[in-house]
Amino acid sequence: MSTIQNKKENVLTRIVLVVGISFFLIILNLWNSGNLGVILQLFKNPRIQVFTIVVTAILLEAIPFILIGALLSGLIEAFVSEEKIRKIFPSNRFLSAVIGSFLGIIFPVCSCGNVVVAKRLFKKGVDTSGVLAYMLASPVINPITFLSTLIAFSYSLQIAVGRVLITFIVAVAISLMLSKNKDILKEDTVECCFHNHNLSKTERIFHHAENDFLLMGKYLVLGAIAAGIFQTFISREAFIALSGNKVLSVLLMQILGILLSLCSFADAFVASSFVNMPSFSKIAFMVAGPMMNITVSILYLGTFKKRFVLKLLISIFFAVLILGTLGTFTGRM
Amino acid sequence: MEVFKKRDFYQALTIFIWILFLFFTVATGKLEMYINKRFFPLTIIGLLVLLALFINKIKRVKKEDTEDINIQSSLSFIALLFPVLLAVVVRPCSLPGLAASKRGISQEFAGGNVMEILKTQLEMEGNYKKLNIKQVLILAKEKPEEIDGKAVSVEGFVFKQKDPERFILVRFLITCCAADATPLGIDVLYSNTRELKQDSWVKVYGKCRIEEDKIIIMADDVKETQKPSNVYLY
Repeated sequence: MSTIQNKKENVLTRIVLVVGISFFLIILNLWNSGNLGVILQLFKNPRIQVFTIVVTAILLEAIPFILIGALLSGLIEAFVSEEKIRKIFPSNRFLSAVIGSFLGIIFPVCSCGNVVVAKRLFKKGVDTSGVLAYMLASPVINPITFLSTLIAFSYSLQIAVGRVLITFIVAVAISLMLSKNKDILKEDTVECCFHNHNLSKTERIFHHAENDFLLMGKYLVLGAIAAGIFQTFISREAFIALSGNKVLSVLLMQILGILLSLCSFADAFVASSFVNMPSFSKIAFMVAGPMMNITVSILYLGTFKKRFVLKLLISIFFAVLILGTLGTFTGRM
Repeated sequence: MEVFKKRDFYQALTIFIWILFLFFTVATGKLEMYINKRFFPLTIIGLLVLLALFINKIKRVKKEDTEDINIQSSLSFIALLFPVLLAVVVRPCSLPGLAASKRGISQEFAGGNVMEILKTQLEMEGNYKKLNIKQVLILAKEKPEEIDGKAVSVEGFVFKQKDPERFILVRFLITCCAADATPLGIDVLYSNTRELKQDSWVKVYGKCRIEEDKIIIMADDVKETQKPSNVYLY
């Protein structure tokens, strides 16, 4: 089995090398024939400029968070015993989910970084409900996001508290619903440490942090590219113009939050600019975005098994849609 | 040559390329084009963490036998290299008008302290009070009497639509990074709009008028200007 796998990998590696070398030769040929200017002119195209700026901006903003998350994850691995972590999360699943939801107040790492931390907690054997609730809620339920939501909505406590409340309900409900799934981590995220026993604690921290950075960084790039494509080619206003009624407004704002892949520390400022949309549709934008935007969803795919990610994304989507719709019909905001 | 087959070589190279990329983005001031200044310390922390990872990696490579590169690690290498290559090759300048049209130009935004603007000793250019688009919009919303009928000079880039006597003066406001940049715009009435180039940076001199809660500048003159070193408002 492993020989077949090795052969397959060898073939694929060669394909990657051949494509790379061919690409390099084409560029060299264009440069030699003086036609490289045509290609360089192509890069001046506004679409390519917007795409490059959006992709690079998302990465430059998210990579420090991924690195901090990776370092935190390495510290947990090296210094915090499984027993200590289990003490933080009680054995009662509901209480564990509630505590997990509020852990972001102590560790305000944004959505990209906390997937890395959550993965480490899973590996430490923490109850699924607690870690899931932490992973889903912490990008929103933390002091920085709360303050930015308050400022963005001219100190409207209703919106800021409504966002926290809906995030809390969705995170706790979903983590309880999915907590029975135990074997959820993807196999290639389970590291092999048999040859690392001779490493010092500091070396172990950096070793784990490096693994997390290289693994999650790749998925982050894919997520940023997807968000970049959406931001370059789709018009936000045309998208929102499709909303004809309250349910549709919640649905579309929620989808927009997912497609834009904004940081939870900043999304409130974008949400508040949609002045004609109902408040709950803006809350749906600010809840669904940090929990399941393209970048984060691709990070989930790099961490968990596909089946679990599918269940997780579908549950978040419908939970936010239902709560957002109920809010628009019953709320006063 | 054996080293080129090793997975750790490519992993160390990936980290090293990102260190260089972050370093040059910070050192050349290009970081301002992508993210809000207040996140700069985080980038520096990221750079230091990467440096620590790189040193640790080199130390470990010397100690251990490492595995050969496989498809998983070569794809990872390519994926992490792609954005660096893209940014280096494309060398973007600033978000163009296309981004403004895709995002929808707005006069609505959150934050901003009107008292702060009123207290500040604003610079004058002749008879015109020098303001930025954000300050004009805050004043128009919070204290319209302070801006209605006043002569101002405002800088931004040109966003032309169909009307030959009107354009929108635009500037992006960013909170975290260019992905969340919101285009703020003010309508400018100017008879020679046709002569202006789309996306060009200009300084508008004119009188403000508030019509149905929207602010318009009746331009006396529009002068082409150099793109400012920092194109965003915060």
